[in-house]
Amino acid sequence: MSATITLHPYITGAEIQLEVNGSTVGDCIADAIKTYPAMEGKIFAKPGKLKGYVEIYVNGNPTVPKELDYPVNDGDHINLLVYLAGG
Amino acid sequence: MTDNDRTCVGLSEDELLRYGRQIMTPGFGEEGQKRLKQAHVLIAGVGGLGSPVAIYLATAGIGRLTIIDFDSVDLSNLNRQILHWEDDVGRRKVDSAGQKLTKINSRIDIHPLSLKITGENIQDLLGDVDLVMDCMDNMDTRFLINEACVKKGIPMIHGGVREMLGEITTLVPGKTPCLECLLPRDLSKKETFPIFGATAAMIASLQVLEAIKLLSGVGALLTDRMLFIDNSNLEFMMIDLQKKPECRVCGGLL
Ligand SMILES: [Zn+2]
Repeated sequence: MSATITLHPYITGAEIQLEVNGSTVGDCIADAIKTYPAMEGKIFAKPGKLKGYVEIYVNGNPTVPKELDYPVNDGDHINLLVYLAGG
Repeated sequence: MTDNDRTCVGLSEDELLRYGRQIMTPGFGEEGQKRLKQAHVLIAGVGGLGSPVAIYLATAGIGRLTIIDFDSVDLSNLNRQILHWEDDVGRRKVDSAGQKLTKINSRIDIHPLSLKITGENIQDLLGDVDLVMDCMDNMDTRFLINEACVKKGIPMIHGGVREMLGEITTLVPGKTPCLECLLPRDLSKKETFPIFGATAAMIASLQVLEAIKLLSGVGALLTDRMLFIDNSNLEFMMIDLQKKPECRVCGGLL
């Protein structure tokens, strides 16, 4: 499956949109990491566990609770947001 | 006219001395100080961000501060919530904060309110408020406040922190994006967040400078941009923000 992913500026230094391949959000992120290896440490707390400030949407829909296992279809748009909720 | 009369436009001898070092700032002057004195600022949350925000707004001579928090002080708050001390554990946060703030500056009005901000009470709470400091620790309440601020045309200075990360932007209804232009409302993560006190202090201090600039008209505001700081490697990033024409909250205000 071919999808586009938009990455929050914190992840890649500037807002980036790129083509990724994969049948789940996790696969697509793994594909994006091939292009931007540094993003792995910024979005994962540990392997398979996203950091609390990351939230992922597919075509505007929240992916929680499946999150990394959320299915991705051809032409989907994945949005990876970063927000700081603490005060 | 008395010192305590916030509506009086003059500054007393005491005030001229007390705020003299900021009055000296070119472009700010006595006029800027008078504007701070006439202002009513609401501080939503007196935790990690709200503590230093309240301290610096009080020292700067903001005439009226309303501080809102429904929580009580817990030992685990003390690494960052500097208005609360060891003896305050178990006390209501607004009582603990109000007491210290009065000692910091007895010449300003401080209104502590121990309550939870809800969709029902937020409009009333905003009353004659000139500016809201977003020092909340959760997104749900932030969205509530954002929506009410947009409705009433009240600017809000958004701050958020986590770990060594911080973000800040100044939201002005009708001019800049609102919080819901930036983030969807259905954010799911509701976990206890890691945080260093100094991270909160840094963002809080920037929030106060934004407040002073906004109220006095001096300098340029952090509008339509978000400053995102990663103190783990001292990376400062300025992110351009876009208003969403279809935004549910502010879409009609283009
Ligand atoms: Zn909006």
